[in-house]
Amino acid sequence: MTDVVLPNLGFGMEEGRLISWLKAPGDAVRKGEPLAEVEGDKTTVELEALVEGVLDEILVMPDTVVPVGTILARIRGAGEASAPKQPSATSSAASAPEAANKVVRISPVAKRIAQEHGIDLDKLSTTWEGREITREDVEALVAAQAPATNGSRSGRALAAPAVRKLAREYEIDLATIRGTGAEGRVTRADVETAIETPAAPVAPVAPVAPAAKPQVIETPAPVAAVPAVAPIAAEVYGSEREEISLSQMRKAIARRLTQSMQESPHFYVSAELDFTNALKVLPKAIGINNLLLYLTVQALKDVPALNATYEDGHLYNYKHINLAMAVALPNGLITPVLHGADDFSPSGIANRARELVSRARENKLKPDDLQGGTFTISNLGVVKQIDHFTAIINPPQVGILAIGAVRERPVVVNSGLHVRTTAHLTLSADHRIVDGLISARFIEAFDAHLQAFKG
Amino acid sequence: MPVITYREAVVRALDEEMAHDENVIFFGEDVGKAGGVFKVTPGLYEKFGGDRVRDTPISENAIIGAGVGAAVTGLRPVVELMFADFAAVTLDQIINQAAKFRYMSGGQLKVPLTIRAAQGAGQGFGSQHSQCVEAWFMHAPGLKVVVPSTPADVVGLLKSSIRDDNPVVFLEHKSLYTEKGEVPDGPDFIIPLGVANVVRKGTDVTIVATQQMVKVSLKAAEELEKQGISCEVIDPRTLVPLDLETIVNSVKKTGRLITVEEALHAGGWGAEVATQVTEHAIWYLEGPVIRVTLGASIIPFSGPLEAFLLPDKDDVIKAVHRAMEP
Amino acid sequence: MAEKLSVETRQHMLKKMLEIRYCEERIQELFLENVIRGTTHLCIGQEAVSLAMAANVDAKRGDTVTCTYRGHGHALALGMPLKSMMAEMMGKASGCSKGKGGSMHLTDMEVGLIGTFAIVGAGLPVTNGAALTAQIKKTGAVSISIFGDGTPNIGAWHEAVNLAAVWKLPAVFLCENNLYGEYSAYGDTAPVPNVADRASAYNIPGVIVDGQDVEAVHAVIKTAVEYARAGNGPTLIEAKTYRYKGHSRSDPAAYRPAGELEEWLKRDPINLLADKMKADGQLTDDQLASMRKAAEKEVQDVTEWALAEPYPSLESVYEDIWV
Repeated sequence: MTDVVLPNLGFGMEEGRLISWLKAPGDAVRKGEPLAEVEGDKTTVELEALVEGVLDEILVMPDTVVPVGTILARIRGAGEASAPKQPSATSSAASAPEAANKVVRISPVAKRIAQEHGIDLDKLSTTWEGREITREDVEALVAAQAPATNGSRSGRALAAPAVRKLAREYEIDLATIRGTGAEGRVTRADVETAIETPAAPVAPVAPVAPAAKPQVIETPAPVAAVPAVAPIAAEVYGSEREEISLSQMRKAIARRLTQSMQESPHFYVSAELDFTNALKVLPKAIGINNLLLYLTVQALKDVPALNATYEDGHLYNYKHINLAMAVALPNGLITPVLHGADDFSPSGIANRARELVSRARENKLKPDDLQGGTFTISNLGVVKQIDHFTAIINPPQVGILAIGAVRERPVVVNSGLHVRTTAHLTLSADHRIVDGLISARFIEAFDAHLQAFKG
Repeated sequence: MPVITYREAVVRALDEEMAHDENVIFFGEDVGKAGGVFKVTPGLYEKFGGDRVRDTPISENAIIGAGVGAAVTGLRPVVELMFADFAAVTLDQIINQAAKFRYMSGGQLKVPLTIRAAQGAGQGFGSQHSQCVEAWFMHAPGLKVVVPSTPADVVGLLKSSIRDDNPVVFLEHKSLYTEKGEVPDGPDFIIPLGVANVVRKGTDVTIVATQQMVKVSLKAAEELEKQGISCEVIDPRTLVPLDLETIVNSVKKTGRLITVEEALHAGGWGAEVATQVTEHAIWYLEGPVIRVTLGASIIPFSGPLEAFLLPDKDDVIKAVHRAMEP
Repeated sequence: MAEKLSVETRQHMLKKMLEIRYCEERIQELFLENVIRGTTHLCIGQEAVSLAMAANVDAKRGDTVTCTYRGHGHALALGMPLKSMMAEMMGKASGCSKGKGGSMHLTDMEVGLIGTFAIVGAGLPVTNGAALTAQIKKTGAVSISIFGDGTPNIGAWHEAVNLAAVWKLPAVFLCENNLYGEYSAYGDTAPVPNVADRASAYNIPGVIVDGQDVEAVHAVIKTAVEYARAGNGPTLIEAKTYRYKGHSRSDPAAYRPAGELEEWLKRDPINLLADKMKADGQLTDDQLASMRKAAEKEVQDVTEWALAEPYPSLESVYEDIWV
């Protein structure tokens, strides 16, 4: 059994009001799931379950004011006994699992040492519940953390600026990486390894009652419903899933694309363009994909307003075209950049693009290869069934071109039905910056260059 | 392409510019009838006459001052200070007058003056005839500072300096006077000021070096290549204006920077380049920026001491290894 | 007795001397009112040398002048507009040097003024350069360098006079000996009684002249200019004069012996010229009084104008450094 107690929600809080229960006795609860709403001196917060299990009993009724530390409920759980008690060596004190009560008292020396080592005081565990946290306590914690912040006397990880930048881009805390370089420095390779490695699960994923699961499925429905059993069975079906840890790359993609959709009002123009003639003269050495890159660059030259970035209220137009290409990798999506693409011939673009894509696949891109894109092209033509799709703008750029499969389709030409090789282009543009006519001009320019293409 | 020495390059540039523009005059101590203490200007007096090629008394203030006055009234003088160390005698004319004239006059005056001097160690000239002085002049806005390392650079950059409407301090390195190199033929060959020369391409570390140290750095780069370390060697050629873009772009590529200079550690051009690079490319740096310099010493007379003090190939290699440490 | 100048020239010189006098006095007041910053070096009492020099300069021919930081009078005498100078004093955009030069750095190439040099002795070597241009281009121009009695003690002075003598440059070295180099009496810092005595060391003419008599100064400069233009090389002229004020703004000139100033005031250059003109029937007291009033008014009008002028744009601080 684990007690659910009223935590201290801020300095000086002595009592709090339980507003409502979000779970009923007998409900399965997962760690981190809200159990109740509680009101402190200044805030109303959701009280989260600190262990998984089943809400066993409720001891305090809604709309009751009780002192801090009062037991509000009890959770009955299978994993309770095995819950870790000590801070982990590879994670910060933040993940200490039993932070039920916030620490009330800490000695000044302990506080200073904790701050020097970047230990979040609010998240210190209650290992020392009931007494003041002392210097020894914090030093013990620092010692436990030491391997992770190798090489740093000040608690700051040592790393070259470029390595720091890489880590920041992937939202990796250098302090969590064991440095393998001289004097414990975190090297570029260390960070790259961390990028590849799925993030350590913050909350271990476990079904509510793993041991019971198979049996429950096979158990015939009881004749007389036992109230405690039915909800568990439903819970088990519903929670039969596996959490996939997100790689840092995936997290970065999630963050950026969400930001893009939230911040930039997208609008779209699309058209079906005829590739038949161009493909007749297209040298094999160039290939359709690189033809698309080349035509995009030519169209951008004609409609430079789309070769731009919009950053914190500032619009920048670029002299050169740095074309980013969406490349799918097993663990995510990456957009290497063809810098100065406006200077290249079709075969120049082809060579450079092939080289970039192959380095992307071999994971050998340099930071520069991913920087400075001014427009992006996304091509799903490799999947022949795709007619068209819309892409999300790659911020801070203001446009992205999505291209579907280039294949034969029926087309009406001069009142006659013909079989032509076509593809659908969809341009997503940021309406804060780009208006419809500009987008239309882009498609028009793309088509003009496509029809004029002479190999 | 003709091969000439660094010394011959000086006279070729002067000869071409004096022929090109009759406003170009040339004077200094013993530069006329004697052809220069370093024998870099023979034949000019005979060719252009004593009006345009003049010997002066040993009067550095008078020499630079006359250059400044002639420059603001329509000539394009080239003056020689012989040893660069002697610039200390006439810093007022260079720094307070030549450099500031345009500014203090609200843009009324321009000072198309070229001040040539020979700097650098390696020949046992002792403390007052061997130092590299470029940093003195980098601290005087209004001046341009040129430090050529090859015969071609001497020709191309000296001609640019003479044609420039600003006062230019053109510092030849006296240990390089016998260096030979190809120089494109013809009076149209010119190298603009402020364009660095990427002497050797590389991917792992950027080495920025001037004058004698370019050679030293190239030797180090060859040896490092055998160790699998690819060095890009950049000779900025002019320190003011500095081609920061080329240097920063190189560092963005390599992530590492070494500067190699025959001058003091504190306040040298290497310190300036290092700071500029950290300002413009800090997030590209994979390791510490390291300066290879003379340390904090004065150039000594004794051969072994002088040789010990000057940065050599091994100093550069050591610095590269330090920068490459994971 | 020096040759009498024409009545027009005399009138011009009188008018300009009055303008300089009132201008310097107004500048002094503006300093005390904290309108003008930094420091300044006034030439009150020395105006005759400025006018005599300027009357021998032809900027169109290519004649040039360098002088010292005590240069307001020279600039005005040469013809720099009063507005240009007053605005420059106040650091305004319409000053002759766009406000970047100030009291000690006046340049106006339209009137041949290369600069008023703030480093003692720095002007002479530059004058040589300008003279060298004239010599090589055979323009017939001369270059005049004006300096104080402290300057011959600095190395650059010697180097420059020596070089000009060796190269026979068309230069004139004009010393305003106002008896004090900064706060020190001339005799305390120089081993020869007269600056002009030094000419013999360079085998060039050395001439001493009464610096308060504009016509006398004019005559010796005229001779020196002709001598230089004829290819004979430089002349060293010493004009004995006196500054009524201290060395600079902060100097009350307490080191002067009692009665010295009063003695010099008796030979005020403006009064000397006015007296000559009156004696020759060229000027009445009333005319002089109205000339004084007009000069005072002009200075006051220009001051008001300059006060209202804008300061330079802040971006201009990085302009005019390189071409």
